[in-house]
Parts: sequence; C-alpha cells; structure tokens
Amino acid sequence: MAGEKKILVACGTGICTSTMAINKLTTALEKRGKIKLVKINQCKIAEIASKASDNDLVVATTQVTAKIDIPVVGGTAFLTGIGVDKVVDEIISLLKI
Amino acid sequence: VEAQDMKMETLLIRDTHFRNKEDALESISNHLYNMGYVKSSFCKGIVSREAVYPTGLPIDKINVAIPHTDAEHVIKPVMVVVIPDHTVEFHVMGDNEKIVDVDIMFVLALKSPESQLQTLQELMGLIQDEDKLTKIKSVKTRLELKQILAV
Repeated sequence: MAGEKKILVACGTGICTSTMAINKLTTALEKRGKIKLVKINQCKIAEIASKASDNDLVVATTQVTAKIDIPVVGGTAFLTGIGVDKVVDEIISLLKI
Repeated sequence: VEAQDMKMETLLIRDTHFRNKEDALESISNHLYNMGYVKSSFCKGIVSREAVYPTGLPIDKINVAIPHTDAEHVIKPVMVVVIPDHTVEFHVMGDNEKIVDVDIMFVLALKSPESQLQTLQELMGLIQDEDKLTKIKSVKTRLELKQILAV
C-alpha cells in the first residue's frame, strides 16, 4: 500500500531481540486493526542512521545514540510483556494511524 | 532451510558459580566452543556486545538476561539455559544506567532469525510467563527443561 507508514525495528545484532519485538508488535497492531497501515523493517542498531530516512519511526531494544530525525520508541516492553499497550499507543499516536 | 535448523538445540547449565557476567559469558562460550557450537570468536563477540547492548530484562520476581552476538560467530544454533548458584548482575536492555540481578540466563547462538523463529517465539512466551520461569529455575535435567519449553 502506497501510504503505509514504515517502522524500523532495531537491535544490536538485527536478528534476535528485533525479531522477538517484531513478532509481538505485529500481533499488537493486528489486534488494533492497524497492521495494514504499516510496513515493518528490521536492522542492526548500527545501521539506523543510514536507514532512518526510508522509515517513519524506530523501535529499538537498545539505547539509540545516533542522531536521527524520526521518532524513537523503546522496544523492550515487547520482550518483557510489561507495558506493551502503552508503547503501542505511543507508536500509533506518533505515526498518526 | 533444513528441518533440523527449524528447532534449535537446548542445553542446560545449572548451579554454577560465576564471579560476574563476564565470567559467566566466558565460561559458557568456552563450553559451547568445546562442544563445537560456536567459533572461538564467539566469546569476545558476546562479552563486548553485552557491554555495549546489555540484555538484562527485569521481569518481577525472576529476572532474566538473553546474551547473544552476531551470527558470524556461530557454527550450529543453540540456546543455553543457565541457572547460576546465585544471581548475576547485568545491565538493563535499552537502559545502560540500570542494573538487574539475573536469575536465569538464556544464552543464544543464532544463525538467522527465520530458521530460529520458533525458538525465539517460545523464549518470548517463556519470559512473559512467570509460572514457567519459576519452573525453569528449579529444573534439574535437560529433559525436564524441554518439557517445560514445549508446553
């Protein structure tokens, strides 16, 4: 879909906690009926500076030190299960979807 | 992807004494290296990555850490469930200022997210299920561990 918002999910390796977070984020967005409004991408945290311009929001399971001009949301809630609703609310609100 | 790659092997290390997280990660890495699961570079990779991108997760009564590193250091994917004789301090994932006393380490040697998705999903279910974590903390054998993971 042309107008879909792009979420970049990042972790240290780009294969472990980002995969876990994407799994939970996808389920949460499906429940809210928002999944068709977004496209989810995955990368290493070291790559976010170069990939930020192609995305609308970053969800990171690590600290983000790179200076990027799209919003960054912490993603550890998707791993612990604690505070997931609040983070999903924040993502939906930031993306205006 | 071959069928055997779809499900990772699971190992259990318990009641071991570690001085700190570096000691734990080095000891576990050496074990995995001796068993042929990882390359010798895995140790440096996992210790340095933990220092930069910590993996401690404060849950509630039982706290966990999920140390891991890049796929290039891995020969054969495996998850090691480590229950130390007393808690080990880890920094908190996403918040390097905070420290958490970790009861169970799930050390991951991953090759690709696609082939290990099932294990990652199981692990997530586990982390978010305090009853299961409590059971795992007292598990004695790899068979018992597998039975809890499979439920």
